[in-house]
Amino acid sequence: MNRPFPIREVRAEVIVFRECPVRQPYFDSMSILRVLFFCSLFLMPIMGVAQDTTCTLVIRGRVVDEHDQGPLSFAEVYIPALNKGAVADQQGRFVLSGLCAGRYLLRIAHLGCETVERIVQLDSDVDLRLELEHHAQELAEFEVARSRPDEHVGLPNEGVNKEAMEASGRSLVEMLSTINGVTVLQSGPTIGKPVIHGLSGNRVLILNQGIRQEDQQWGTEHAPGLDPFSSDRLTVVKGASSVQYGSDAMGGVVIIEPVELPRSEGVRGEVRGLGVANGKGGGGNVQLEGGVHGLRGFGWRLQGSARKLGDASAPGYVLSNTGMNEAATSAAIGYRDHRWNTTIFYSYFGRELGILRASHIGNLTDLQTAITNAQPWYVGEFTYAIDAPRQNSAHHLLKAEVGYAVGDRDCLVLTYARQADDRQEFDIRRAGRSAIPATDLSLITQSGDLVYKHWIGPHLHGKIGANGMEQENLNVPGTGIRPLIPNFRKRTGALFVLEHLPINDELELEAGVRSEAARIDVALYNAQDSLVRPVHRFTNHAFSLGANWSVTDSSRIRFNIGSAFRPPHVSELYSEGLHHGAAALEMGDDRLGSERSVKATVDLDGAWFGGRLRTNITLYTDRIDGYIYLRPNGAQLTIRGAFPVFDYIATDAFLYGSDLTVEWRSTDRFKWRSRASLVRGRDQVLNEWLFQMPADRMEHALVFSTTTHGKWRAIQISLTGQYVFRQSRVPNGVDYTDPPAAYDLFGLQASATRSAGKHELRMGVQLSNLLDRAYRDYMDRFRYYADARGMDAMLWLRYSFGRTEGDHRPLNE
Amino acid sequence: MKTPITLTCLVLLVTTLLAGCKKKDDPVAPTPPAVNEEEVITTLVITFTDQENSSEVFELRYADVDGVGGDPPVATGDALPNNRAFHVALQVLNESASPAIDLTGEISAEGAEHQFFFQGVGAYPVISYADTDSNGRPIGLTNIGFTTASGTGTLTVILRHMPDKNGTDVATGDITNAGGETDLVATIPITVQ
Repeated sequence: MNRPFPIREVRAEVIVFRECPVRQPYFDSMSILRVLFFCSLFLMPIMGVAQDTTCTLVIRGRVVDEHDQGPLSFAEVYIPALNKGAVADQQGRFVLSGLCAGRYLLRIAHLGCETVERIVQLDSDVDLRLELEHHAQELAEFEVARSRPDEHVGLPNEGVNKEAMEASGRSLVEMLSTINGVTVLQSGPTIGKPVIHGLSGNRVLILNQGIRQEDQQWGTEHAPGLDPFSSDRLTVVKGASSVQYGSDAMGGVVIIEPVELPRSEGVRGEVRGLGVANGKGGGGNVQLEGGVHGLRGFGWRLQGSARKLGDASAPGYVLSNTGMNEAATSAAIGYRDHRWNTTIFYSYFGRELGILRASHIGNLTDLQTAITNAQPWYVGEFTYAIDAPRQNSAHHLLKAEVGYAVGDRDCLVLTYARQADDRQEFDIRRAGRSAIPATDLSLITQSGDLVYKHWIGPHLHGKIGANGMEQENLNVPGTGIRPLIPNFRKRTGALFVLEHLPINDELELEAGVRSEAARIDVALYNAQDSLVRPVHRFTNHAFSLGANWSVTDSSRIRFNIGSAFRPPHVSELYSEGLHHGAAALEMGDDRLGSERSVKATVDLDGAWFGGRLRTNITLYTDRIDGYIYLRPNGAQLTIRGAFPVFDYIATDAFLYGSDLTVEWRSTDRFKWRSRASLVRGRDQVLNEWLFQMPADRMEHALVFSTTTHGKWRAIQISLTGQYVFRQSRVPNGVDYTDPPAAYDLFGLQASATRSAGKHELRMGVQLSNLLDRAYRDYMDRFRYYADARGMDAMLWLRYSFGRTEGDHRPLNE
Repeated sequence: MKTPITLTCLVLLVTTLLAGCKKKDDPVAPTPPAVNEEEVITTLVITFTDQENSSEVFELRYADVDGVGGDPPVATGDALPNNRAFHVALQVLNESASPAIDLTGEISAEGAEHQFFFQGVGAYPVISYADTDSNGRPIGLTNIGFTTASGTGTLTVILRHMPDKNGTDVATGDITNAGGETDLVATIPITVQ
């Protein structure tokens, strides 16, 4: 849970869109009435109220944070006896004028702070420095809620902030899996894809800096190619979001939030290092950002990271050939003033991954032998070397965005992005061909978006936009193997409207529609070896209706019903042949049509007993028409042996489930948290369970946190226990073997911050699978061959320098 | 709204969308390269040469010429004479290419990473290794074979890539502890007369 309770979602009078410059100062705790109230105070002298001519004294000053002396923007300074007040500006400076001499009680208030009172003896003008104790963490998240309109009204969504990102794991997917409702579809210890409410791959959209990540995400063993540390925050929206984002946003959306560039000069940054025991490796990240001296409004950010791991280990043996090398960098530069907001962003991500050697098998008989053996057939000595089978991928993203303020509150945002994704897969081949890629794909995607964000009134604001995308997939010649997926060029164009309707302080509605047309031109050699160029066209629409309702001060309901769509991917239309290493023949069907789904979610948040007990429950149902999946259809005998044949077919699927979280804060320091998530997936046509749905799971944690202890602060220690049930809901005759047994995993995490001179050092340790359990997860495609990773320990530290509190707030001007 | 800005934006928008609607006769998707899959194994040929009379040659053949998919493999072959000793030579071909590519050389060049295993049921020629790789372990391209009594049966030949040749009994032809990936499985009906 991210929000402190009891808090209501108050919509600010002036809506600030993230990409848009703001033309007016931001009144953060005002409703219309209070604005008028304060306005009337200043009008009073004009209305002819009798005035004492000696009452021209002034109280001025600055409101700052007690801890770091940073300004508390827009704090309120109020004299109750006079009914007079002022709102500080962004630098915390305020002025109260027209005062008579005397003794006054001043009340100073600010979001996230305890209200402070101060007695002031006013004989002449005074200049005050007022300090408030500010709870930084809660404030940052709360401000996020109040400074931006809720982009996902009614949809359950959860974020992972920077502290949680660095404490929770080494890869993007591990960080995401800390969110309830998100699981992982794995191919061994190093390859994972996020699964949201049972859906993954092409049914989960990843937005990287606001751009759809296009990196061959259709492949089950293609992990997302991005560096989580190119961003400060991850958000997962667990619902159908096709209206805003287009196709593929069926299960949900993973948002790698765009970075907020600093706007004032001075360089700040951080250096991060981490060491990992299982895999005997580690990595680091260096990040620098700052403004430009003399050029107010400019900001830049540079970041680079690298990681290297050797073979992972299961409790009994080395998982040979599961090493990994990664390198990534990103750079951003932007300019913002009262009219323009432009950003240019570039990132590169390169990765070389070994694929578990023991997973590379010949035919069905080999697979069955692997299943019956307790140990993988290939176990070697630990090494950092990465041999075939392996993957090599590189992903480039270039994004340019321009926001222009139109009038007082509207703005127009134009975005262009270009992505280049190169992916090579190397197989074990004869006669030195292991050095030649078996699959060599180049995917170039260009996208353009034009969005007009408008504010028509306090009860209607939203956006209308057009998106266009052009994508080309090319099989690079020279592999000596028939391409796994054909060459194609895909174009999509879409129009959407999404409007927010805040009814009152408690209720906010949202409605939206989208229309999208896609055209795919394919080029391939058919079974008769002649070149064919089929063309496919898909037209889809989506709608969404959502509501956020704060029922009471301490409970809230979010409801959303929305549709999503997904045109079939060329792999589903045109696969024909042996999926190398998967011991299966996959047959596509070029008559498949778009998947269309309707997902309804209800999310209930509550705080009880004065905030000591917090509960959250999400319930959802998802009906997907034309759900495409692989269905076994006999076996085929070839000279390499027998292989099962899988056909891509469409059915009607119905998924439903729930995520629950309960948090009990027994004392100020101790907190108990329990979470559970359940997913059910049903094939409506065949009336059986769907294959590869996550098993039920729960996690309990005891969290100890304290603000200071000696030189350390923001200390947090947690002990977690996770239990994953055996998946008993499986279709008959689809899997090679029964789902693995249930298992439990224990973990320990500890982290703390201390000051290092003027700067800050945060460090932590994370121990996972403390009891070194040997287990296999149903959602791991390599569970036929080997156990999952055994005990692991990760030690990390982050050194931040030059950081001041004020610059990262999303508020501006 | 500022008209020039709006106009520019609209123009940009229209251009982006129009860029997606090229002329219909543009060859839009790049032409894929014609792929010659050299290393695909389609055919196994086993040649039995009588040890005493080298002019008596018998051949067994297991072929899946259209590769994976399409028709299943076909086994053909001569009947073998009973109670004889043979030199047995294996040849691995890619007959989907024309002319056919002989892959036997690739296998023998990487002899340490390949091993053939022979199993049978009923009346079949018992085959033992007569070649070695660079580590002194057998490969199975050159062997000796014996037939005994007449009858029918099947011979199964399995080619493993990267087996563990040091595993228990692997060097004598027992596949149980061999590991590796199966590159070829040929089950051929045998007639010994």
